[in-house]
This record gives sequence, C-alpha cells and structure tokens, in this order.
Amino acid sequence: MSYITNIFTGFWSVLAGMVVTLKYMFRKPVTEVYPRVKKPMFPRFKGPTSFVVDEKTGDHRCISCELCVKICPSLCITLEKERGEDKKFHLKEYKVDYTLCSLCSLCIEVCPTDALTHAKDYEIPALSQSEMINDFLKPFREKQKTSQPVAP
Amino acid sequence: MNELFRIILSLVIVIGFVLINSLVLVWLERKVSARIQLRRGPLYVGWFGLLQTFADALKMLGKELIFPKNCDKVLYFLAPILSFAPVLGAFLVIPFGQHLVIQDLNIGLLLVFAFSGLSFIGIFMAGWASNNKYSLLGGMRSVAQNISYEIPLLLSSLNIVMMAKSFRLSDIVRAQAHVPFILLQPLAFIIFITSALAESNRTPFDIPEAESELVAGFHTEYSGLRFGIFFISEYTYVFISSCVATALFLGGSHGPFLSGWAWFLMKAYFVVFVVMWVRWTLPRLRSDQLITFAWKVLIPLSLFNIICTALALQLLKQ
Amino acid sequence: MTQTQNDTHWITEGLTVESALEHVYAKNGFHQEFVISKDSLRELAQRFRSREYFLECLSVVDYPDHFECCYQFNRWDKIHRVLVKVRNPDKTHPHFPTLSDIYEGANWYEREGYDFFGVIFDNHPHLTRLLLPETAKIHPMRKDFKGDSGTDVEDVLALIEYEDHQYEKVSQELKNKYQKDYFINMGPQHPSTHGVLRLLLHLDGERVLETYPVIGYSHRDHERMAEYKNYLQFTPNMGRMDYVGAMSFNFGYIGLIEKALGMAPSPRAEYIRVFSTELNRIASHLLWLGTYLLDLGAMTPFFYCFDDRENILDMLEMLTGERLTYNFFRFGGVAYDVPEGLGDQLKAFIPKMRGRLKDYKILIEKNIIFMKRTKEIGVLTKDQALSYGVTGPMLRACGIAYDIRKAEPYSIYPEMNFEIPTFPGCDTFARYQVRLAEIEQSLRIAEQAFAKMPEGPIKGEKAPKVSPKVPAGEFYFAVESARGHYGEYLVANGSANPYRLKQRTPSYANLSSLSSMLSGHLVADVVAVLGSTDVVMPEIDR
Repeated sequence: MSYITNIFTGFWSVLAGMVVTLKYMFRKPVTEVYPRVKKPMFPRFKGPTSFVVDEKTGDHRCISCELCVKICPSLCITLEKERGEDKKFHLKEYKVDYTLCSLCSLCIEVCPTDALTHAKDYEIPALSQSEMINDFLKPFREKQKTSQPVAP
Repeated sequence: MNELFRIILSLVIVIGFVLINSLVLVWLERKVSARIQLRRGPLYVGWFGLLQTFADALKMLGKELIFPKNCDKVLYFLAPILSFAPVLGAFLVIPFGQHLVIQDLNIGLLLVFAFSGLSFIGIFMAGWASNNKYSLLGGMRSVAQNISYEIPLLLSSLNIVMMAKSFRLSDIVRAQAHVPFILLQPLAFIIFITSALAESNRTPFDIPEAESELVAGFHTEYSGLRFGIFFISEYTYVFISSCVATALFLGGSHGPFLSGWAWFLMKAYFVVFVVMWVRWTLPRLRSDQLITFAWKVLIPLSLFNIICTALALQLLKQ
Repeated sequence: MTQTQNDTHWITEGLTVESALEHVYAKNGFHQEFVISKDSLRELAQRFRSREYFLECLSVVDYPDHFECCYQFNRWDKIHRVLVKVRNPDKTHPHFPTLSDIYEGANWYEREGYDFFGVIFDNHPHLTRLLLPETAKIHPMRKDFKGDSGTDVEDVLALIEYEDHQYEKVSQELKNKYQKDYFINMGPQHPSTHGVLRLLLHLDGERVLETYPVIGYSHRDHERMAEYKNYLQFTPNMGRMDYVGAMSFNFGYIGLIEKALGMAPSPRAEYIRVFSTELNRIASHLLWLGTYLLDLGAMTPFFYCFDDRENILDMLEMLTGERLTYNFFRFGGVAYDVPEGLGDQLKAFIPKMRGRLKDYKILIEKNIIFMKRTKEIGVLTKDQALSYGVTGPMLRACGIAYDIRKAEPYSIYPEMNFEIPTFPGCDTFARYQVRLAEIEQSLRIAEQAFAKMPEGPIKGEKAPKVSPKVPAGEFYFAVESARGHYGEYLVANGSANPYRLKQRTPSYANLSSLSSMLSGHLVADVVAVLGSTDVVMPEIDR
C-alpha cells in the first residue's frame, strides 16, 4: 500500500513544485540589463580611494603626515614629500597600487584632515599592472595646468 | 526515380528543419529558464534575442576541433555523428499533417523506437573514446539508463497500439479524430513522457552529463562543432519525443479551425515546453535511484496499465 | 563554577602535572589550564574522550625556548574549556604523541602542526603536508623563518615533478594491486567542489571506497600575517577568510581583542553588530541553499536564493559600503552608524523572506527527488561528530543543541529571544532542515535587534584611536559563525602585534569528517554530502 501512496505523493510533490515555478514565471524579472541600465551606487559604496577636493581651495587636503602609509595593511601607498621654503612638508607624489589595495578604508579613517575618500566609480578595468597604479595628484596637476594663464 | 528525388528532397528539408528547429528550441529553453528564474534571457540579438543562439552556433563553428591526448580517434570522430544520425531517421515517419509524412510505413512507431534506441551508442562511444574518467562514467550511466527506460517507453505506447490496432502513426492519429488518447490513457501518457525524458537525457534524468558530478559527462572532452552536434541531437531528440507524444496521445494534427500541421507543431511545442518546465523545476536523480525507478515503478505500472487496457477492450468488444 | 572545580579531579588524577591554573572564564575564555608531561597526554585525552569532551582546537606555539602544543577540550552540554599544554624543549625536531587515533579530528590539526612548525607527531598515520605544497621545504610559522623559500617557479616545477612521480607511483601500485579500481581527482577544477578543494576518490565502479580531501590551494597563511601586522591592520583579513559569512569572523576577531583589552563596545554598536551578523548569516545560508540545489541538479532555486540574498547584500552595502568582504567592526564599536532607509528595507524584507521560505519548502523540501537524494545520505553519528570536533549546523543535525550563542553567550545574544533548531536525522536532509530553520531564527534575531537598538554613539568611550597594545596573556574567544564554532586563540606578549593567533575555523573540522561520511556512497552522493557540509575553502585553507 505504501508503494502506491509513495508514488502518488511523489507525483503530487513534483506537480506542486512545478506550480511554484509556474507562479514565478509570471513575475517581473529582477535582473538589470547592466551595461545599458546602471544602478546608482549607495552613498557608502567603497570604490577606489581618491583625494577629496577641498571646496575652498580647490586643492587636496593632504599634509603628508604619512599616517595612511603606516596603517596600510597591504603596503600599497607610496608617498613622497619635500620640505618647502615655509618649513612645511609638501606632497610631491601620492600613488596607490590597486593590485595590492584591499579597500579596507583604514587609511580613510586614520586621516587627520579627511583628505581621502572612496570614489563612487566602479567601471575601472585595467589591462596591465602599471595601469593599476593610480596617481592621486594627476587630476590636480592637470587642473593647475589648465587654470594657469598660458605664458606668452 | 521520382521516389528517390522525393526522399532526397525530404532529407534536405528535414536537415534544414532540424537545424533551425534546434536553434529555436535552444532559444525557447533559454527564455523559459530565464523567466522561471526571474531573469530576462537573451534580449538584444535579433527579435527578443532570437538570433542569439545563431550567433552562439557561429561561435561554435569557429572553434578549433581538438583530439584529446590518447583518445581513440576513430570512435571519437564517429561518436557525435552516430548520436545525431539516428534521430534524423526518426523523422521519416512522423505525420506532421494529414498527408505531410515522408514515408508512412506500417511499422512507423517501431521504426521511431528503433532509431532513437541507437543514439545512446554514440553517447557511449563518446564516453569511451574520450579517454577521460568522467566521460567513461557518463557513458556507462547512459547505457544503463537507456536500457532501463526503453522498456516502459515501449510498454506505454503499446496501449495506444492496442487501441488503434495499428503501428502506423497516421492510423493512430486517425483513431483520435474525436477523442485524443491522453484522456483515455493518462497513466500511459505520464509514463511515456517520463521515459522519453530519460531517453533524451534531460533533467531530472540527465545523469550521463550531470554537470555537478561528472563535469560534463560524456562530452567533457568535446568542443566546437562536435559538441554542437551533441547539443543539436539532444534538442532534436526532445523534439522527436514530443512529436511522437503528440501523435500518440494528443491527437496529432487534429484540431479545429487551423490546418493540420499548425496544430501538430503547436501541440509538439507545448510538450517541449512542459519538458523544459520540468527540467527547470526538479533536481537530478541519482543513477541507482533512476534505474530503480524504471524497474520498480514505471515497468510494473505500465504492465498494469496494459492489462487494464486489454480487459477494457475485450469487455467493450463483447 | 565551584561545582566544576570539584568535579575535575578526574582530569589529572595520577598523571604528572607540571603546573595547573584556574582561569577566570570571563577574562580570557578558559576555565582551567594544565601543563602536563608528554607521556601522560594520551591518557588524558582518553579520559576526555570517554567523558564526551570534544577536541576544540590544537595550536602549536613556537616559544623562544620550547615548542608548545595547546590542546583545548570542551563540552557540548555544559561549557568547560580546558587548555592542556605539552612542552618540548627540542627546537629542531620536537616530538609529540599523536591523538589522531583517539580524536580523529586531531589528524588534520597535527598535520597542520607538522606543516607549519615541523613538529613531529609520533605514530601519526599520515604525517604529510596539509596546507603547503607537498614539496615545500619550509616551516613558515616558526619564529626563525625568514621567508627564504626560493623562487616560486622552482616550487611549482618541483611540485609538478613530484605530482607526476606520485601519480606514476600510485598508478603502478594500483595496476599491481587492484585491477578494477579507479581513482578520480574531483577538483580543484570541478563545478561543485565549492572553490578549490580536491577530492581524491578511490572508486569501485561508481561506489566510493575512500576519499582523501586535499586542501591548501588557497592557502595564504593568515596566521603568519597576523604576526607581522598590528592588531588594527589585521582586521581586513577577517573578511577574506570566510567570505560568505564575513560578519561573524569580524565579530570573532574584534570580540577577541576587546576581551583581551577588557573593554566593552557601546550599546548601540552591539545591536548593529548583532543584526548585521544575523543578516549575513541568512545570506550565507541562502548561498548554501542555492548552490546545494545546484549540486543536486536543480538550477532554479539557486536564482531565487540569490534574489533574496541580493536584498540582504543591498542592505549590508547601505550599512557598510561593502557587499562581501566586510571590514565593518572596529575595536569598541562599528565603523558606521545605521543609514536612513535601512529600517524600512529591513521591515519590507523580513515578511518577504518568510513568504519565500514557504515557497522553498514546497519547491525543495517536499520534493520526492530531493528527499530521495538527501535522506540517509552522509550519515554522521554523534560519536563521529564528537571525534572530529564537528560544530555548527552539521552538529545540530545530529540532534545536539550546541550553539555558541546559547552555550557561551556573547554580546547581546542573551537578551534575544530565539531557539536553537535541532534535527535528529544525522543526514544531509537534517542539515538542510537545520539551516532553513536557522534562517527563520536569524530573521527573528535581526528583527528584535533592530527594534531594540538604543540611541547613542557607535563607538565605546574607551575605543582605541590607533592600534591597541594587548596585555600579555592567552585569550580565547568563540563566536557562532554560519558554519559553526569559530574561535581564536591569541598569545599576546604585550607588543603591538600578536605573538601567535591561531584560527579555529569551523569548516576545517567539518570537512575533515568528510571521508567517514562518504564511504560506501556513490559518486553522485559525493557532491550531495560535500555540499551539505557547507565548506568555504578560503576559510579552511586560511
């Protein structure tokens, strides 16, 4: 007897499962058509680290204290500085190697002047390792070039 | 001469139909699975992604054909052909319409089973010739499975033969002019569909190619066009099974308003859809459970069904 | 506590005890500690085994003047963590007795000890490399190891040569010995070994005679990294170990350091921690459910589970900014406060998830094929579970309600109203039932924790601004991760980085029991049983 009831319950369970999948078949798809439809990122999205552009000066806020270099667990930050005429340190070079960076945001938390932040950019593929080394000062240098009057 | 020309012409038509049909079926499978899984499926190549499979087929054609190291080259080369060719033969007797049948043989049903029973030899050869352990396991499973499921497949269609009193498929269709046999033989229909699923290696019976256990089973070592032929033969097999199920149980080309072949194709594609729906719902059986299911459930049930049919026929006769 | 002390004379009765210590459990996580001689270790282990203590962890520590094996024994029903230390002053080839015949779980721990420290366990049945390649000539966790192992290419070439040689040797042996037997390498490239696990299956036809799991393909030596980095710098590593349930691992490490520092996080942070951990646990179980069904051949539930999981990941991304490898917990608190809108999402998600669970039950649990595939497959008896030190849902599927959240409650779990689901089946079906019931319980906890969350700062008053210095001592802290008992054994010497940080990861012990669960099953069951253990390879390989 249990032989027959087993066959029936088995058959019934298969049908019940098929009803569930049929129900889902008429629901709206949940996937996004990614490259054509882009989802906005959440405010806390952790993209690659980058410098904050100071609203007042239009420059970065880095004071070359090297705290981020010391805290970085993956040793991905290279910082070069030079002592200017006003006895203060000036940032000469700030590069992050994204082949090493794990986006842990410890450098952002440790920064005393809040000079670092996560960018919201997420489409940043690279074809070689050298492209993965990001020069943070590059946009600032370009800005300087364009804003300065052209020498006669 | 005329007859020979007709045969050659139909062969060309059949091959063309098989290729286009399997492209459509792959597209249908993708769409059905996508909708069941809350996805969208192919969207952009062609109308609703209809040409996506065509693009994939082109990609497949462009791939290098590889002979794996230490494989049995002759068998390796022959296996995809041997699994594909018998399925083509089965088209010979399918009655797509009232007169749309290539050769209306009086043993049509047997011919279909004879041809479709051959295709597992190709699968086993592929498993053996690849010189891959997973492929070998897949091939062995395939043999066990095909031998087991051939029996309920034949036994369940025997009911129909008894009721229509003919092996000729067009006679069987003609016998369903008023009532399709699915209403008279629901159990036989379920057994037939289940065994046909198993014969065509579809989930939940896809153990020869169980991708989570055997990587890709018998076609692990196949790539490019040869893999494509296996792929096409699987889909064609599904279609043939659906056609036979339509002819045996769903009344074939009978139906109001539309012409016969349209009804036939609609019914066949509906069966294909059900097969896909089953595939995307159920998990896979284990190999021993699969064979137990055939010998302990399907075969006794179909024997029981045959006895009932025979008794009923005899009683009605008197 | 006095009760336990009175009852524990049996532990050392008649054995040579070099020193014994009573620990304050609340301070460092141990009840008792014994330093005993090498000769009496096996006798002691047998006593623990006969009284249903399981071997929680075995850590080898390299001290300047001796090697030390620290065995931790614990109970399921009434927490009583005993630390047993054995010392050997031989710094080149220290010998210790093996426990692998008493506790089968010790097998892998001892191999790991040999691998990392060059410690030799006498009479071990198979003392070879476990996590490092078989050809490695280094013992990287020794304090005198400086990282001079030669070039990578040479290592790889040597490994290939070694494996070829081994393959020839094995196949020759097989040809001579078994004519019909069959070896299959399942993995590391295989669709259902969940990452980079390799199973060497010894088959007779399709029947599995023996299974040898080969692990270590994603080994990064987090324990060594911990010794090089300071306490704060090590926090991002936690998300890289168990990437599916990273919050629990965050919890484990941060909780350990907080315990060692003797400080408490702010109340609000506790609630944020608990609800985010529980959400992450649901996400982990959903990922397991989806991939498990994929292993069994059903592809559709995978997508439903990922749909639900996506909702959770969205919520956690709103909270933490990360989707998978969370680095969210900080000493004394959490990194960010709860953002606006998260509460609404959570309120919408919980009833939706409960509705989905009903669908899963119809689609999966009631299905005849699923039941056939999972019932009475991969049976792990209670005694085997004890012997291997299996924890988590796998243990609860043996009907034992051992859950750290109840057994040794941490954080605010005592305030939460929830149950520990147990099922007596001991098989893969029971494991499925446990995990599905846990999703429900986790939903309850997350709901309660979010509702009860007080206002206030997200970091405690004493929260260190820079990397803290942990006072010298030994500490153990365990949390219930999605896969089981995740514990960390910290030996601190008062400096800025740990002297030794042993990670007791749950899947490690769970996976080591695989071979005993598999014998006699078919190849198709291998994936069913392996899937039911819910392994996350980077957590095992560390």
